Amino acid sequence: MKEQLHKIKQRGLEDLEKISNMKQMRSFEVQYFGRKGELSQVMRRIKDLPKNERPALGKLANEVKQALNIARSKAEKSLTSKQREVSVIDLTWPSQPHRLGHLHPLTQFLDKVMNIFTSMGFEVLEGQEVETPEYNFDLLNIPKNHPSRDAWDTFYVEGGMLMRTHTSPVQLRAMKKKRPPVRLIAPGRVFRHEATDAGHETTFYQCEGLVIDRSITVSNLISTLEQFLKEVYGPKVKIRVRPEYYPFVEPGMDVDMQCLICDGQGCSVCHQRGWLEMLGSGMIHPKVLSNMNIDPEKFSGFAFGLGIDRLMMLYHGINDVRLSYSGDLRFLEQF
Amino acid sequence: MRLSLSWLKEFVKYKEKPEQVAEILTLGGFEVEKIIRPGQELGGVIVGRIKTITNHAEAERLSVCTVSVGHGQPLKIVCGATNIKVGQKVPVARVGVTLPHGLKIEGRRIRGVDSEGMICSESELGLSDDHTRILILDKAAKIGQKLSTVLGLNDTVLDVTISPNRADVSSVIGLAREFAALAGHVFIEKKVVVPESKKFKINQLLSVRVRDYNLCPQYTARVVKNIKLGPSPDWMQSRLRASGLKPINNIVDVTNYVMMEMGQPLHAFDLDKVKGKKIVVSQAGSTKLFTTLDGVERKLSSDMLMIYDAKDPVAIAGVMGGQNTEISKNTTDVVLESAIFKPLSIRKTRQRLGLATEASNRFERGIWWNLPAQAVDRAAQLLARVASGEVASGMIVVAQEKNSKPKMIDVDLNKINALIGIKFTAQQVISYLNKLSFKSVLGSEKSNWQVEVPDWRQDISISADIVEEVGRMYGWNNLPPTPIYASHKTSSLPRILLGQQKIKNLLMSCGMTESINYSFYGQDLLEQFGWQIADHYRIDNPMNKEQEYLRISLVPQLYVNILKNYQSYESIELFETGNVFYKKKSGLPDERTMVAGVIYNRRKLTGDDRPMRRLQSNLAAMARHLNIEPDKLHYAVSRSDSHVVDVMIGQTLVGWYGWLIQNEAKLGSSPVWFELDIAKLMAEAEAKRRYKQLPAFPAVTRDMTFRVSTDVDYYNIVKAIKGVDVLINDVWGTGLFEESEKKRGATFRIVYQAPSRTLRNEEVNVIEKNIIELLDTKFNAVIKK
Repeated sequence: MKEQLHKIKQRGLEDLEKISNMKQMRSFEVQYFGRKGELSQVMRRIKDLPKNERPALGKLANEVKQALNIARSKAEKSLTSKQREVSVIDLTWPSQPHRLGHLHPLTQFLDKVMNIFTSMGFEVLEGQEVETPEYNFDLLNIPKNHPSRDAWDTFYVEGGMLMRTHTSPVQLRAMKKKRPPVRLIAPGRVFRHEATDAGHETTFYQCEGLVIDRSITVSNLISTLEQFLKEVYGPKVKIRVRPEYYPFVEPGMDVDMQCLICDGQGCSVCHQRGWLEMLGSGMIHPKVLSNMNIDPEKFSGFAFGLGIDRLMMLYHGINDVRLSYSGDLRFLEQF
Repeated sequence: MRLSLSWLKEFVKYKEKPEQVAEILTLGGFEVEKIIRPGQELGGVIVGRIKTITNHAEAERLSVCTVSVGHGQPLKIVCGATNIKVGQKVPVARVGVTLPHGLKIEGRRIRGVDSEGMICSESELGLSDDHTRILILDKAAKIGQKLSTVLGLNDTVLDVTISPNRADVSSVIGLAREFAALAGHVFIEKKVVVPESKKFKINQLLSVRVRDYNLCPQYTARVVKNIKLGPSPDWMQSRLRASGLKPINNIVDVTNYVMMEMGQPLHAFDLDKVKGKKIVVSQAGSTKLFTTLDGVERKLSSDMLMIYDAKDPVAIAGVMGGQNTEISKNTTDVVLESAIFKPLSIRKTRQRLGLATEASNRFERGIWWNLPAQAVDRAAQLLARVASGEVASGMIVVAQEKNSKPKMIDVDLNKINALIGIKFTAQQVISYLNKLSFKSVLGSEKSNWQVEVPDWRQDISISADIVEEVGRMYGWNNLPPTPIYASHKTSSLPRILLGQQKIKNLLMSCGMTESINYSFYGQDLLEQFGWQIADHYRIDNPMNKEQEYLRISLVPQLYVNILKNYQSYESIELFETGNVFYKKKSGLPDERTMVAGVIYNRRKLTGDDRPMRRLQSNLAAMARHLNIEPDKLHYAVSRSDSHVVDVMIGQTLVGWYGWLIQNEAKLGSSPVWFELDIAKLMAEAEAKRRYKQLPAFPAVTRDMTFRVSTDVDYYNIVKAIKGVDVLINDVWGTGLFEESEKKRGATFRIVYQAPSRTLRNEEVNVIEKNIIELLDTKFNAVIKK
């Protein structure tokens, strides 16, 4: 039996040398390692041997099996690599990429904005795009026939309605049901009746925000908006705040950011001013708070409005707002 | 508003550079858009004197001038203007000089004569639109002197944005007051002394009547006689030019000068032409037409406020004067009108006439009570000074009330501090307010007091307004930013927004690109889709015909997107999410957030690459991604339109898909479209998946092919097969082929599985037999072997 095992090993190694394809390899495996294979047959007989001979033979049988197996796997490796060399020409040649579409840069940027504000504890709200003059103007302390209304050129819709000129009505409607403390943003599409050019569109996206609680301050407002701008444009962002008039806030202010292109030296992007107007904001006007059924004696708050298109254009270096609404694939495919 | 810095200097002595003045004003709430240096642009233009004028030999309309410019030979210049005379001093641009509009002067031959420069008109110098006449300079101008020096254009001008609530800063004095307060300088108050002549008394020269004090709360007038009409002095002209106004004659210039300086629009009527020496302020009533001094005949409506003399209308109050009482070369006596008109009335009038003027802008923002008298005094003083006028003694003031009470506002230091976020002392606040001319009236309490608002600050009415004043005097940028300390509530995105985000990401992964289109489209487009105008909301004031109606579907504009791109792209797959506007009988529209897509391929494709197959596979992927039970999604040919397929989730119609056949010839093949209602989709989406025990025993999978009539829906067959036996675990179609016009072959893969044992072939055979029987009876379907 010992001799038989040696013979099997000898013959097995010889057979392996002759193998030239996978089919032969599989039949080799069956012949030697299979259930009815030569090695199995020998090993099955070990149990019939006298007890004292069994350990030595068992050990030998295992050694033979192992040796053959190692040789087999070596032979198989060299066989497959030989085959691969024939079939593969160039491992660096790329395949067609999986066909992915593109999300609109406004969508991507708006998602970024929402993520930043939700991480600061803001709730996101949406509303209707067609509104009433009451919610779009009157309740915001923009009286009818007042020159301050001129700042919002408006599309009017049959039946005395209008296309909302900002997303403030969403906040007003929300505040019918909510009580302070509130922290919310209202992103969405807004409309202005303006001649279009590289800097102006009739349709654009806005994200307005509102914070109401006890003892909310101007310095809270500045801090929140500075954090936001740093999150979007990087930690080097420098801001400045200047008074600005909006009828629904008092005091009202604009937040400018030092031009990122020229570091405030003045260039074509910032019209030589060194600063870019980023957003309008202010402490909510007591009348507007009252219109939300909130006692201005007890609560204060701030509001702000971001022009998403402008911020997005600055982010990507886009110089014409109309591209966003052009449906031009050459533009859309860049994002 | 254009602020001349030399004018500003008359009221504030300051040392800051123009850039610093601009920054102080900007950070104080008066944004400076631009710093303008008009002189710089005219740097190369000099004064010349016309020595000779001869006719051009070859061109009737041209003349050849020799012009001396101080040094060297006189220049020979060809000129086309007709208002030149020998001896006049004129602006000359020599060869090499660039004019404000970018025109570079070159030595040219004009019809055979060499021209060595250009004699300039106001338009060529960027001073006005007048391009027909040469600008004739004052005799005192020195030959060879820079034109900018002669015209006093060495000024620097700030272009300041004025917010609609600040009537007071539409003037040099208004901005000077603010600048002085913000920069810590002294505002120089100028006392106006009117040199009244005892010879004339105003009450003997003029009477004024106001019909409606509500529309005209105050009408103030003075009369100036024996004026020598002529050009106003250079200093006045150059300041007006710097402010963007064109000098006309000394009377008109004085009224404009005072308006720029003080903010009060004035009007000068020729007293000789005022019939009955009487002025009546009244609504237009039956007056229908009126010719304003720009020569345009205006149509009036009965409620417009007008100024009349004893007989006829003489001005549209606060907007523009009339031609009939205009200052002319024979004018010697004028009535100066300085009034307060109701802002709303002026606003309506100028809107209806489409006529916004410097005057109407200021009236609309509101004139404060004491201004008209101050301004009319200043104008009378100036007319006496620059036009040798004699001011009749006295002033007419017609008003219901004689005085207005000063406005008092409560100040609570603690509230100011609570709103701004730092601790000011009472002393600080009082000092800031003092600088802005607010008078503090202190009481017994240290943190509460009253302030008296200066009369020109009509924008101040509540204590929050005081907070703003304190804040901007302190400087918002000096405020340390402080994060919000407040209770923090968790929240999640609105369901529709969440769905929208998921859908967008999925469609993007499926190869579709997002487009964003307007909410409006035109009649042309909606009719191409076979829709009715009546189903749409109309925009009352659309930008153009292509944007007249609110969309009821996102598909038409995606289709337009294909037309825009198809020449450069063989394959186009676009989607959009956005609101559509379904018409309701009353109230706000029924707005739905939809997702729509179009898929187009110029080539005629086969198999799963076909646009329709890709569309369906995207819909199925979307349903899976939204956690909609896959069995629930199915399609049915729409009952109303056989080109349209209803997309159903269970029993709910969530949207549609179909072909776009409008332009097949041009596009080469028809695109497909889909549109789904996101709220309805999200209503079917399950918040979470429930785990099902893994099967312990293997499943059996078999295919069956039937020949069925073409009018049987896929979904009905699948539903029927599923109903045959509980051991049928899953069924779906794997192949479809046309056999004839009425019949087609359909292959279904059926998975059989039992929860507690391995199925035997015999069992499955029995079920298959039952399926064959059922499909035969139900749909007349025949099994194919």
